[in-house]
Amino acid sequence: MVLSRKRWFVRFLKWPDLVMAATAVMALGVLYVSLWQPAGQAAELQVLVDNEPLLSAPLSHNQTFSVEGTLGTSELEIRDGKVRFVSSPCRNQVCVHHGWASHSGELLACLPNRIALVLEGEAAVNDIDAVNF
Amino acid sequence: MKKVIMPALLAVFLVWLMFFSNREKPAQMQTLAMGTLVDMTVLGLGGQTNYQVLQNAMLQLRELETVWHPDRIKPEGQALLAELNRRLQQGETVTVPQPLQQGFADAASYTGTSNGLFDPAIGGLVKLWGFHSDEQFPSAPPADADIQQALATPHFDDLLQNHALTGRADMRVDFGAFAKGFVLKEVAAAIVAEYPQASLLLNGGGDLVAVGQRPSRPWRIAVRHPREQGRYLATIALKDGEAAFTSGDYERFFDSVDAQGQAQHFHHILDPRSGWPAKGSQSLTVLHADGGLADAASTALFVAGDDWPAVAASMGITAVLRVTADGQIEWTAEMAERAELTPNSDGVKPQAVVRALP
Repeated sequence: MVLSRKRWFVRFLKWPDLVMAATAVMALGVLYVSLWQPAGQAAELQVLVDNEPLLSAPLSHNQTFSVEGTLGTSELEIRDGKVRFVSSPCRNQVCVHHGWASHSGELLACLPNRIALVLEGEAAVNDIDAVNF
Repeated sequence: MKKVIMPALLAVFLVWLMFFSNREKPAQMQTLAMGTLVDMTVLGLGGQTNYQVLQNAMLQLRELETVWHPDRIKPEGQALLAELNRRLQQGETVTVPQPLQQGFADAASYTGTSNGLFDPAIGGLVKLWGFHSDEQFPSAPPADADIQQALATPHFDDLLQNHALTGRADMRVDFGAFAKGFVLKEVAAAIVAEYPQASLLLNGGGDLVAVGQRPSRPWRIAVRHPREQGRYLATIALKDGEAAFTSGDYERFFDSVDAQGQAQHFHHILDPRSGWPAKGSQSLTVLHADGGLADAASTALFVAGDDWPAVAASMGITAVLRVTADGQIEWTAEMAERAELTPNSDGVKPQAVVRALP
């Protein structure tokens, strides 16, 4: 009768079960930290000038900076994980009109100034491989 | 003993999971070519070979870019189209050089099936508008008289007879709505011929050619929303060997003010019937196994406006996604089955209208 007053789960659970449950919870935490990231969000920006890699920059750090292309100076802005051309010495302004880019696999370029921006990040399982436009 | 079996198994399983979730990292390379930024991804051959294949593909791409450029004459003599245009403008009758013949024949056939809505012979008109240049779009549209004069050229399928064209001073053949698709198709075919087990995704400024798939799933692409920056219109899983091409009014354009003081938006997709930027669509996406056809058809169907289903049927296109000028989404039954519309910022999926093909 003493036993029956204990709650039902205490009767069925033994200490190895608790070890297993604790391991599972801990492993879940480890997996979450190591694998999780916002779907498709790029982590790093690569800048190419005239098809040569010039620099890379993390998208986590907000900043505005200039890149010398073959025509002149283009200004880039990184903010909240996104990047854009603020200004460019080209006449058509296709690059500036494109606006912000933030997904891994996205591309931005100023052809007249020969500057290309490549957004990189680990592809998640349900991620997009490329953007069609 | 029994007490440690379950935790041990669990630990083994987790280590296995972490090990195998480390997916193969594809080889990737970018280059400025074909008037745009081309991004190539290769996987399935092992790291070293993946990069070797990319290197070769890049060289081939640059070669083909020179071959198909309408104006840029290079001293090495590989600028076949530019050289052909120069001779045509001197009034010569020119036989199409062998490396261009397949592309010319394909393009002529698409000019026919699109009823002239895709037409490489309007190169003079493209130049008049200034959309041929990466450096200099104009700030105002050309005079209508000049437009009408530039339109007075025969259709490309009438010009090309027995792999030869007869020139005239105002002639300029421009494959801006075809060469990228054709060249990406050729590059992909060359890789697959040598490495049948390769998977690749070629991205030419947003136009895509896919071969094979990722290890665990097909290549997945998103179609950009024509009006809302940074948002997707839809996502699509591409089949092995499939190309996705979109024509939109939002990429190459200039804004100007007309005589009445009205702001006007002039984009680069010209209607060969009027000589002015095509009206009626914001964007139009086509899927097809032939990159050259997908490229030409996305232009022709964009130009066709509301009549696009008839042109699609005539060109042999069955997967189409379109956004009309007033923002309505239209698609074919096949596209409705394959594409998933992206919910808007309120989490609501937009409505799309299925248009039947005749």
